[in-house]
Amino acid sequence: MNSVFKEDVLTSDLPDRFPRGWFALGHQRDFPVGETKNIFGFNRKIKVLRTNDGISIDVGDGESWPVLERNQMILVWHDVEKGDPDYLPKKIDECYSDEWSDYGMASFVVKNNCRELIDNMADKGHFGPVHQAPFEGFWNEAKDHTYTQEMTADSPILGRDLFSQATYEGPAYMTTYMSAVHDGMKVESRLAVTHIPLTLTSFQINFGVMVKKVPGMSAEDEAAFIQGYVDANNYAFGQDVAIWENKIYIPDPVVCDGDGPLRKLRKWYGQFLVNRADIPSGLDLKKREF
Amino acid sequence: MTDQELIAPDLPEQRDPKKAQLKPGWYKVADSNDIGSMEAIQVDDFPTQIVVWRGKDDQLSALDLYCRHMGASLACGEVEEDGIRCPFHAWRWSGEGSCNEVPYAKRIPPKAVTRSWEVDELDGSIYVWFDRDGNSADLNGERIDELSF
Ligand code: FES
Ligand SMILES: [Fe+2]
Repeated sequence: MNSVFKEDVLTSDLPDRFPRGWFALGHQRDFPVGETKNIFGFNRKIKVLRTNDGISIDVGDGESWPVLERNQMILVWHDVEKGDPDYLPKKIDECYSDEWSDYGMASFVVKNNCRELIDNMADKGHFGPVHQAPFEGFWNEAKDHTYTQEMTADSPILGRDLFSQATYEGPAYMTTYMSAVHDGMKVESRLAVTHIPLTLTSFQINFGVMVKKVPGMSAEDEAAFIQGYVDANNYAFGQDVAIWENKIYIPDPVVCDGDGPLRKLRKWYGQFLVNRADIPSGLDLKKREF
Repeated sequence: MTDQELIAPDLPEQRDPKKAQLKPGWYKVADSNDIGSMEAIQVDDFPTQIVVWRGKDDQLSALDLYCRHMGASLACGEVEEDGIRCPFHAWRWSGEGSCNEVPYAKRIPPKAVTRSWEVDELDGSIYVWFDRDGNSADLNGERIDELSF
């Protein structure tokens, strides 16, 4: 063992709970009236029942969690303190517009704690090596329960002249506006990247992709086009998952100048892992370029 | 795999090698032909998990498996010259355990150092030196071919 290396603590204790916030269970259309669906999440069975009067959730033990139908998704409020929701995700006009398609959905399971996904927001340095998409500009901003990343890049997978603005509202519901040029044509799209923890060491990503309809495009071509976007995003996630499933969590990473505000981001995320009374102040981050 | 293993897997940690109650010596980690030129392998049967690679001039090196930056497995990286490049943010680590390139940063943080291990190749086997007390390798030290945990 060499001598330069300083022994330090490498233990990465898991969080003691699932975060507080809104979690998407899936797309509205997958919860038809009169049907009960069973979902596994938060280490328990969740029954989702839709009637003509709305949606109700049964998480066992006679408990019921707040539910919300918004932006085409069904969301539940998880909170170990069992308090009322502190915020609501903003309405996204495109989700209610005929000029846009509906979300095409896909999902997959990742074997790690769901905090791994969040690092991506500040992790400027991984886009080149992991996604072959070196960015040009990269901005972060944190405000209350929201965290926003803006990026301009040039990606062979997700598109040339890419602009993307991604915002987390709480710990698990992220929406993105993206525009890119494909085959000389400007394409506008929206992503919803959501997840629910299954246990403390696995989570399921449910993501949705919608595109702005191209006038004159047939329904068939449009469906194929959306599927192409779903596939491209699946591919990009696969690149992340290959890393996520073969790594340890470094609680206090050695960072360097080009790394993005990783520590700031993790502190912001930490607010959802403690009781409200224990949330520290100073979690906001003014929008700035990194 | 059971359902429980699928949804509640144990997550990896870099094991503390000091916890291994082993005598000092050269522990066999692979056969020579297990590691081709410019290739890296992951070794779990050792006091801690390590990456062992064969770089330029067939020089063998070994480091703790998990990158000290943000924890990715270096065994999933690329061997480059005599170092290894992490797959996550492409930091390049030397066989001595220091980071010698960060593609996007001018200044390498002085704390970017990891634990390196001494490697030796003898009669078709690859050995890594282990001594709980951190004494440096002794080429005449005992060769231990079987390791059972
Ligand atoms: S985790 Fe290895 S370079 Fe970032
Ligand atoms: Fe990523």
